[in-house]
Amino acid sequence: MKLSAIFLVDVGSVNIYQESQQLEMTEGDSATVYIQLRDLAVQTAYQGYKNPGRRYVPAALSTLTVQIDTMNSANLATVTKVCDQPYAQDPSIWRFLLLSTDPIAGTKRLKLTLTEGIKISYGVVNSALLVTPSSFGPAT
Amino acid sequence: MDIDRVFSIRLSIRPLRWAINVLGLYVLLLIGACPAVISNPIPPPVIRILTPAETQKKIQIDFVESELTARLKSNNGAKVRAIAATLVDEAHIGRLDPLFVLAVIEVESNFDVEACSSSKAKGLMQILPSTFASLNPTGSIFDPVENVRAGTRYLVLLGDSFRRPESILMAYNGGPGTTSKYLKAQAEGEEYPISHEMRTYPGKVMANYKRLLAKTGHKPVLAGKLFRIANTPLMVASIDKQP
Repeated sequence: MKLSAIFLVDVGSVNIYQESQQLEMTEGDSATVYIQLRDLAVQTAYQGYKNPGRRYVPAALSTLTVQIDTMNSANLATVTKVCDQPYAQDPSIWRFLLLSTDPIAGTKRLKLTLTEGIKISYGVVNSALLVTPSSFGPAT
Repeated sequence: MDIDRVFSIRLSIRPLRWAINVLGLYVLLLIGACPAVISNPIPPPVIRILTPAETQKKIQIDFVESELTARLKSNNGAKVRAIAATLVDEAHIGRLDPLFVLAVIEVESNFDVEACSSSKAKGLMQILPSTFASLNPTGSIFDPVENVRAGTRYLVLLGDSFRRPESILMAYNGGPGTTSKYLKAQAEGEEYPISHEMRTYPGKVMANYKRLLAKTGHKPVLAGKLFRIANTPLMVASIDKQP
């Protein structure tokens, strides 16, 4: 299993949503972020599927934490979020809340840690969050 | 003690003894009956013979279950029997051949529970979320039981609007609006552009349907014995075994 995720936007219900590989927002925004777990080990591109991999349904009572960080080593700020499952009918969907105070700016990646009993899976979604800075700082 | 007093005591004891004897006999009978009661605490089940329709339905569920068991992909632990039972139940409610629904599933998703198309159709029967919501508002679209329920209901619903199975299938694939325009244009001897997929889709499903019918030893029912959906004759329904 190769854990990954896609974003769900305009979520209206367990079945009504748009899928996106990236999420764009502005620094200081608060938002409820919905993600759907994917298993990239299953290649479906040849079958004409829209998103890579396949929806991954974890075992019951699983937990998911998301670390939001950057690949740029100069910016070490990391935000960790514990996710919950908003829809019992579809355990592949998780969500977490981004606060306006969370120090997130620039291009961020998501590091996923999924715990299913004794099995722990890790996944990375690169260039997942594109956060526009709220200001460009003082002019030089 | 005088004789009169003794006699009167004996007189009063005699009915008491008789009552004790009767009670003892009753207790003995009760103890004797106890093992039978303990060994059979639940009355034996009443054996009910299935009606021909029920038998036929059970055979169909068994067949659909065996097909699904052999071909279902990425099932995520869903109960195959539940999917088969839902498929047959919904098909019967809509007076549609369950094998026809099975043939649609084969073309739509090739029995892949997790199938997602580029047009956002999802699950075994490749239902659009908006269509799914209008037919079955509870449950996930990826739940194979709910997906099959909604997909079969949609086929039945299309049977209300379109007469021929090929038209129903065309509408299932390309939408009822486009199909209506296409059929209207065709009736007037005109051309209405539709996609290659929409044009070839009915043929693929019907080929699967005929193969499944052959597998079960069934034949398509002739015009006089058609199933009917909301008073609309529909060709694709054949659950009567032909000799």
